[in-house]
Amino acid sequence: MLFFVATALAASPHALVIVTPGMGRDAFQPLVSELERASVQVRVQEFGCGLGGVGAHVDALVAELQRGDGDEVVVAHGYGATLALLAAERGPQRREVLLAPVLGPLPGPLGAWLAEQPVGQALDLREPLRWQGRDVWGLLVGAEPDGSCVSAAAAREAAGWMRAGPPLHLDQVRVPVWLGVSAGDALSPVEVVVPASRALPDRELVRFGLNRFDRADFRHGELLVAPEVLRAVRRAVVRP
Amino acid sequence: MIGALLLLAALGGAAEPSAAWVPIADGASAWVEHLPGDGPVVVLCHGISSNHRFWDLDEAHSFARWLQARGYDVWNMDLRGHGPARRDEAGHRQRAGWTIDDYGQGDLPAVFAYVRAETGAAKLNFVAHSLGGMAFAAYLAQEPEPPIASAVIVASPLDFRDPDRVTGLALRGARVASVAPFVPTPLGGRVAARLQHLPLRLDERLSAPGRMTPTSRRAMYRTVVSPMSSGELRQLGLAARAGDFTSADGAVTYREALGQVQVPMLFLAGRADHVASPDRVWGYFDAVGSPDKRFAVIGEAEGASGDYGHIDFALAEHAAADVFPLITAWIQEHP
Repeated sequence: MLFFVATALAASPHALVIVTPGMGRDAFQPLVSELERASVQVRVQEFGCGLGGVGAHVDALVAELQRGDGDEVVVAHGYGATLALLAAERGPQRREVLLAPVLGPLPGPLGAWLAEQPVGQALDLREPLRWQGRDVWGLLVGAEPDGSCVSAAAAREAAGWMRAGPPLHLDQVRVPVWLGVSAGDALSPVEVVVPASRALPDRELVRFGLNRFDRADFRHGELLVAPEVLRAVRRAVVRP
Repeated sequence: MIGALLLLAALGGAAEPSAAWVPIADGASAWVEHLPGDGPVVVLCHGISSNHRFWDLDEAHSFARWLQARGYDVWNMDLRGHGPARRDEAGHRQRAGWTIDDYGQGDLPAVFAYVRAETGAAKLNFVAHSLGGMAFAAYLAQEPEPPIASAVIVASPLDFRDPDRVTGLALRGARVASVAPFVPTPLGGRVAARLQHLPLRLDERLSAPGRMTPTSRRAMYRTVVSPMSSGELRQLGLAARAGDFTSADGAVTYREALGQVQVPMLFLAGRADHVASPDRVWGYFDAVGSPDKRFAVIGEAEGASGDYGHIDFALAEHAAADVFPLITAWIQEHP
């Protein structure tokens, strides 16, 4: 009996879910639960607020991947998905399942404004931020974000990404990448993500939203809670 | 200064519109309505299954009249087979089956030549929606030095890679529908105008929820819808297969033919556009070689009153605040 249980565990897929720096673990709980219901063995990577710049985050992610069995699927969202792509050259992961990665500058006047905002000792996404009288996190993320804090160094680098895009070499990514994007996402907009992601050598793209017969176009943060998106992520993770 | 002159011109009151048929080299006719003004000359072109009323639905939803009120000299055109140009000057129904190439290489140069001859303007400003912008790509591919001072391309897709489910189905459906000489969409429009909502959330695929009033929606279905020709549907079906907008014979991929274009061009895309997703419009923007080009998305996170759908650019309640000033600013930057 123990043999059968052990065999089943060994055969079930493994996933490392990356909690995006600045977001709380609770924001990823629906995703984790969806995977666990499908018998995926899930580990969760959090970074905390004290880590240094983006490089330190990528190092921590690679180290975590190397602690795994080399057969894990990395699951990430937003800036966390960008970290996963930065780590893709060094990690032993099997493939990556990514929602709305940040692949280029944030276009438009809001992106320009955000890139100019000063960052103190740390950036706390729980603090309200307003632009033209509107709630910025609501505009970009959608639902009330489960925020946390992120180190000032990483926040400053991410602000730089809003101007110039992250320092990615997508043509060097050797693992297969499944990408989910949504028409309603203004933080990882389709006009940035879709063209840029064509540089990935092995990429599958799914467009969520009304044109996939989903209920709606989802904003950035809504991709983490929409049941149809979570089901698609689960299917992408468990496939052989 | 230009703004002051335009305002002075507008104070005189808007002159009455007039209309004319424009003969095309292949024997067909386009149609153009003239809303006179003393300022820059602007030619407006509609999209697929549409007509000039897209830019001039009624007093409260009219980019054409909005421009004229600011002194612009406006020429609002109908491609052959659309609006009044469903018939020629003699009242005969024009034969169907035209391709988007026919529009770009026949209708647009004919209307541009006509307007230049009428106005004496050396260069024109051109504003096109959806298929009108695709026809402009076909025009630019054969006319590397066009008499165009500036162009504004609104929601025109040129890149059909990575299809979503609905776009893939629609483009495949276009191939099937192209066996008929034309698709009588005005009949469907009249039915749609009587219904509160269309099935399969078709309204939402055209206009983002809340952007248009029910009254405008009804007026749009009654007056703006024109037939679709088999040739344009075949050419769109070809785009589905190729992943790219090509000439009707498949020989020219228009994105690859636009590298030499030097026309200053502004591209507008809607965050909630389910017909021309912003990345498909971006493909057009990216392909144009002009160093003077800009791409903007109309959406709430971009500072607009809301996310814009495919037909909202001219017909939404707040289009005059969210969209029209962007277009005139671009025209004024390129005298």
